[in-house]
Amino acid sequence: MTNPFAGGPDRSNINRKSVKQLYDGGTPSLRGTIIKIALLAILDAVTIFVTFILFMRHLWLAVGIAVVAMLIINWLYLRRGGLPAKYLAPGVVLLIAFQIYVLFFSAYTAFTNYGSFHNGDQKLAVSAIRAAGYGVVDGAPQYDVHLVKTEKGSIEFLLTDPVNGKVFVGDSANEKLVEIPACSTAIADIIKNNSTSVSTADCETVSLGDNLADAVSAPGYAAAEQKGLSKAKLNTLAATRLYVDPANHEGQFVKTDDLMVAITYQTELVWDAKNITFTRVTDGVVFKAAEDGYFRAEGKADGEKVSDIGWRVEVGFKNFQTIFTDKNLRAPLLKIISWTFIFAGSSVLTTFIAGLAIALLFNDERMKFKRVYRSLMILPYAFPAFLSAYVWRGLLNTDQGFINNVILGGNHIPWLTEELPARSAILLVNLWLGFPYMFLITTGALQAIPAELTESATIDGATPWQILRQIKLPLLLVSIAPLLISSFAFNFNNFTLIYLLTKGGPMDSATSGYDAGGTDILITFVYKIAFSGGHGQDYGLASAFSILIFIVVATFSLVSFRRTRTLEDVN
Amino acid sequence: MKIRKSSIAAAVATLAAGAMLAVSTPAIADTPNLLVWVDSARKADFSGPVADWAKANGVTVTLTGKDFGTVRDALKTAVPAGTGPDLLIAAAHDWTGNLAAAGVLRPVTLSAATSSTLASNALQAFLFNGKQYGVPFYTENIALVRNLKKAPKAPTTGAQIKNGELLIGTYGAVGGDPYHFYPVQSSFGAPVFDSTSKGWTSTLGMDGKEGLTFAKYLATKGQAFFGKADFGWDNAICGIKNGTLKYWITGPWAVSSIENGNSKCTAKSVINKDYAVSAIPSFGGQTARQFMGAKGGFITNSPSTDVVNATQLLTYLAGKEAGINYFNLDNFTPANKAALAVASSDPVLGAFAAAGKNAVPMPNIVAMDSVWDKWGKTEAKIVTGKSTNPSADWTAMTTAITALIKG
Repeated sequence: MTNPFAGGPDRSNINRKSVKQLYDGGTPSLRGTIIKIALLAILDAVTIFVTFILFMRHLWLAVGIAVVAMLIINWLYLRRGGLPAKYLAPGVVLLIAFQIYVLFFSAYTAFTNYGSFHNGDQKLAVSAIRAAGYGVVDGAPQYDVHLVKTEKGSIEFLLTDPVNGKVFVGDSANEKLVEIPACSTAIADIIKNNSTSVSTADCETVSLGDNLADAVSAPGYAAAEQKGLSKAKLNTLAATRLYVDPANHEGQFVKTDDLMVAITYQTELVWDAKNITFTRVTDGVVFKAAEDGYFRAEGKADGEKVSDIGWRVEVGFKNFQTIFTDKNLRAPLLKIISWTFIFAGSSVLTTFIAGLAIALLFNDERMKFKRVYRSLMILPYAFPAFLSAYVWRGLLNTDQGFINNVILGGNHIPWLTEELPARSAILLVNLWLGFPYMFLITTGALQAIPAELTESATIDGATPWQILRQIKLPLLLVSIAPLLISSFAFNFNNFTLIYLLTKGGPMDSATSGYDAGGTDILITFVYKIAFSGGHGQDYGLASAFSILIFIVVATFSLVSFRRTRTLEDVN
Repeated sequence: MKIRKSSIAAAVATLAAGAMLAVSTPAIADTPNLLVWVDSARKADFSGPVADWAKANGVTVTLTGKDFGTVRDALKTAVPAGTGPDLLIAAAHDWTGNLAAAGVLRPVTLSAATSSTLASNALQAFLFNGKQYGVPFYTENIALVRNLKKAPKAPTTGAQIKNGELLIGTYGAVGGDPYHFYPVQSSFGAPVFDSTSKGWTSTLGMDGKEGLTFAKYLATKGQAFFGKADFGWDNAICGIKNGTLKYWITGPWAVSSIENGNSKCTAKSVINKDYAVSAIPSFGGQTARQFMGAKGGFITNSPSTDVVNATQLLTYLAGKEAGINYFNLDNFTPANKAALAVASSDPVLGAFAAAGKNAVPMPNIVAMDSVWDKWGKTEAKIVTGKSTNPSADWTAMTTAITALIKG
C-alpha cells in the first residue's frame, strides 16, 4: 500500500492524475474554503486567547509551544496538497496531549521525589519556609494599626500601643519605627484622665471605649483608608517589616498581616537569596539546599533539616533502587507480586474454563432455548463491574451477608477480612464478572470451527474428549490466545475489583514498613503509595512502580504472543 | 502562483478573523478579591457570613464549593500551579501537617486579643511545628451518654461502671475503633504521640509501659466490659433509650437518633429527662482526654494570595457572630468563646462542650496517617480476646508504626 487513499479493488484503473488530485484534495469549493477558514479562525481565536493567558503568567515555553502548534496547523490546512497530514493532524495533536505527554510526565516523575514533602518547586518551598521563619514574641507590644498617608503620598502605619499609649509611625523606606511624642502624650493623657475626649491639635485620636484610644493621624500624616488600595499594595504593606533595632535585621521587628494589629516578631531564620541559604538566628547554623530537596545544615545529606518543607528534585534511579533494595519493602513486595500473578493467572484460567464449558454446552444442537440461556449468561457482563463489586461486598459481609446467613446457614466465614477467604472471594467474584466475556468469545470461535472436522473425527472413532482436546482446543486457541493474554494484562491491573471489594485488605497489623494487604495486587499497592501512603504521598516511587508494572506486563505479553505464533504454525 | 496568492489571502483572512474572535483577555485584576474554597456540604453555613464581610469591606469574594474528600490534595496541586485559592475554609484541622509540609500554607498570625477569644485547644489543633497555620471555627468531641433512669448520676471513675453496662462507639471486631477508645487509653497516660508546646511530635507516646498497661487492661476487661464488637448502630441507639445499655461513649451525631429513635424503638427521648451527657470518667487514673476535631480556615502560600483581606476574613469567620451562625445553622460548637456561651444555652451542645473541656486535638502531623489502621486492629484483637499475648501484640504494633513513620 503505497498510497492509502488509492486503495480498493479498482486501484489499477485510477490514473496518475486522479491519484495526484486525490492527494492534493482536488479543487476546493468556495463553501468548503469558507468553512475551513471559519473553523481555523475559531481554533486560532482560542489559541490566541490561551496564549495571552500564558503570556500574562510568564510561561514562555508554553507560549512558544502554543504559537508554533498554531502556525503548523494553519500551514497544514491552508496549503494545497498534503491530504494525509490533514487527516492525521487532529489525531496526532490529541495523541500528544493525552497520551505522550502523560506517559512522559509519569516517566519523568519516576526520577523525581515528587510527594507530600516535595510538592512544589524550590521557590514555593522557600516562600513557605520564609513565611514560617519568624515567631511571635510573647509579651512584646502588639500595636493597633491605622493607615496614614505622608505628604509625598506614600502609605505608612500609625501604630498605637494600647498598653502604654506610645504612638509610632512606620518608616517603611528605612524599615524602622519612629515615635510621635505629641501623639504619645495625647494618648497617655486619655488613659490617665479616664477621658473619652478625642483630638488635640497635633494628634487626632479615636476613642475605643474603656479609656483606650488610638491615634489616627499626626502632623504630616493624614488618615488613610484600606479601601481603594490595590492587591499588590496591600501585599507590600503586609510584608513590610519595621525593625525594632534598624541595624539588626536578625532581631525583633513589627509587622502586620491584617492592617489592624501589628505584632512584634523575632526573626528565626534569615534568608540569603544570593547564596540560597537559611541561617538560624539562635545558633547561626547555615542551611543549604541539599541534593534530596531539603534545606539541610551545611547542605550535608545527613544534616538537620531546617523544615519539613522540601521541593521536587530529580533523584536519578533512587526510586528504583528503593524498590529493589529497601528491606521494609522486600517482604511485602514479594508477597504482592506472587499474589498478582496468582490472581491474574487464576482469573484467566477459571473464567476461560467456565466460559468454554458453557459455550460447549450451549453449542450442542440438541439444546433448546439456547438464545434465552445465552442472553442470561451475558447479564453479569452487562452490569457495570463496580456495581457488581459493591453488591458482592454486601453479599459477602461476615455477619449480615446473604452468603453466610442464608446459603451457609448462619456461618461466620470472614470472607473479606481474612487473607485466605478474601483471596478466594476475590477469585470467585472475578469468575462471576469474567466468564460471560470468555463465553462470548469462545462461542464465536467454536461456531467458526467447521462441522466437517468434528464429523470426520467422529467417523474416525474419536471420543468427544479427544475431539475437544485435539481438534477444537488447538483451533480455538489460535484465535483466542491473544484475547487470553490481553485478559491477563487486564487482570494484572484490575484495580477496580480489588479496591472496591477489599481495598487490598486485610492488613496485617504487625507488618513492618509498608502497608501491604493480603489481597493487594501491584496496582492497588502503588495506589496506596501514591495517594494514601503511611508517610504521606510518594508520587515518585509510585511512578517508578508503574514503569516496572508496564515492563512486566509488556514482557509477558510479548513472550506470550511469540508463543501463540507457534500455535499457528501447528495448524 | 495563483494558488500561492489565494493561500496567502486565506492565511491573512484566517489570522485576522482569529484575532478578531479572540476575546480581549481580562486585565489581571488588581482590585482586592478573594477566592475561597469551601467544603461543598458546608457552603451554606458560610455564604451568609462571607457575604456580610464582603459587603462591609468592599471586597469581591468568590466562594467555590469543593468535595471534602479530595480538596486537601487538590490544594496541594493547585497552589504550585498558581491556580489555588486565597483561603481554604471548613477544612479539617488534621490536614495541617500534610498541607504545611507540602509548602502550600502560610502561618496565620492572630493578635493576642483575637487568640484570647478562641478556645485554646481549638487553636492548638492548628498548631504545627510551633506555628499557627489555621484558625478554628467550630469543634466536635465525644462524651459519655447515659440512660437517666438506670444511671441517675454520672460516674466519676471507670470503676463505677460494671460489666455489660458500657459500649464504646460501635467498634468493629476487625478494625477496632481507636478514636472512641482514646479517652480510655489517654486516662492511662499513653498519648498516641508525644507533644510539646509547639504541637504534636512524631514520636510515639503509647509505646512505653503506660501503653502496655492499657493493653493489659483491654485484655482483662475484654468484651464483657467494653461491649460486644459489631454491636451495631441501631442496637446501640435502642440500648441507650431503653436502658439495656447504661452508658455509651459517642458523639453529638448520635443525638438526633437517640431523641427520635429508629424503626426498632420509636419512643421519643428528651435530654436531661431520659438521657444525659457528661464527661468521660477516668479508667486508668489520669484525666480521660478524648480527641477533638476542629474545622477552620487556612491561608494559602501563593504569590497571588491577598494576605491582608484573607487574614481579615479568617478573623471575622472566627468571630462571635459567625460562631453563633454555625450553631444556628448546623448545631456546631463554636470555637469562639463568646459564641459558645450563647450556644451553650442548648442543653445538648452545652453538655458536649462541657464534657470536651479536656479534649486534645487529634494529631495533625503527617505521621498520624500511619497509625489508625494498625492501632485499631491491634485494639480489636485484644478486646475481642483473640490475642494470646496482649503486651507482645501491642509492642509489635508500636514497632511497626515507628518503622512506618521513619519510612
